[in-house]
Amino acid sequence: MTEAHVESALVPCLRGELAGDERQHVERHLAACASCRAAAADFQAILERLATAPPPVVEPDWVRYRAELRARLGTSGEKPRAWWLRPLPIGLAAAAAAAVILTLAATREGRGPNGDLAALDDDALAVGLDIIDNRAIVERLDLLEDLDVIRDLDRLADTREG
Amino acid sequence: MEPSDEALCARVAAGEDAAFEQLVGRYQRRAYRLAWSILRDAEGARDVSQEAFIRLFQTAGGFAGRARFSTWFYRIVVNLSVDHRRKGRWWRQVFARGERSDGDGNALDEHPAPTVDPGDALERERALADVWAAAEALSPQQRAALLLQVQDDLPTKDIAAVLGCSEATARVHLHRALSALRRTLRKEPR
Ligand SMILES: [Zn+2]
Repeated sequence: MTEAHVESALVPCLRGELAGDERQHVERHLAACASCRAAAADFQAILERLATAPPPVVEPDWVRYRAELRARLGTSGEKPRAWWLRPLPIGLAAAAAAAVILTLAATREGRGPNGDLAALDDDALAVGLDIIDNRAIVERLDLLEDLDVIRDLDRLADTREG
Repeated sequence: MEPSDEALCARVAAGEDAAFEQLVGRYQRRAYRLAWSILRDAEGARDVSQEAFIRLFQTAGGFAGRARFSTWFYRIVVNLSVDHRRKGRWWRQVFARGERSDGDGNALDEHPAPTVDPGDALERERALADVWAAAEALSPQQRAALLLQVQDDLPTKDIAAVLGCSEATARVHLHRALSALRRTLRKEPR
């Protein structure tokens, strides 16, 4: 094959999302390329498997979940962060955890009560970035993508959803 | 006929509590799973998904109806999950210095994929569990993209809107996710 493989168009192709020239191009390529045909068949099988069973997620007690949600809504003017009061993941020293949590609480309070997605403050982001820089060697780089996601989401929330 | 999500959201904006309860009922499990796909942490997923419903309650009037309700709401879930993840890494990092040097291995350690019974009758379940177990190794974006596709059947352009990326990037997330799963599954004969 001299032509490039269609790769990231395979999933949209399987889902019937392609149209026009792109669809023709991918179909022509698939007809000629055994490697992409094999990948497409495997992708299809994997997607079917995933679709027939929910992910193995530890689900909460939904009755309790709803009660907690109602309680949080009842005091949402104060934006309570109930999870800070619940047991923290194992292995954390409680006293030191409290210190960090207080700092986080101070950051959160600065957000205001309106629940606006754009309220993620840049200062907190900047602090996060400093820490990321220091941790770059051991942290997975996808966190940097995460920060871009936050900014993009904020922009979208402002411009598209009004 | 059941009211659409969009109609319910409009009623939430008008202050109708029953409509809010109905939307929560429809979306609690899916929102929780989406948050879990990014955080892989039960406590965090519960907190974030509840927070997303609070935002929904407070900002339903901001839903302009140009996108699907699910796309708009999932974007809130993803945004809060990312925020939670960022903050979580911060305090975990503080403790990592004193306690452990392996960085961010926590979520997987706390919630390993369920062990599977090797019995023949469970062969099918085993195969299914294997795929989701393999998905544990994907990036949060890849896992979220995959979940939105198989759980909600969201078109790729809507997955992109939820993740705040271009459609081309969403395609790449999905392609890389499936390629990684394919490689992993091929390595594990069963
Ligand atoms: Zn090819």
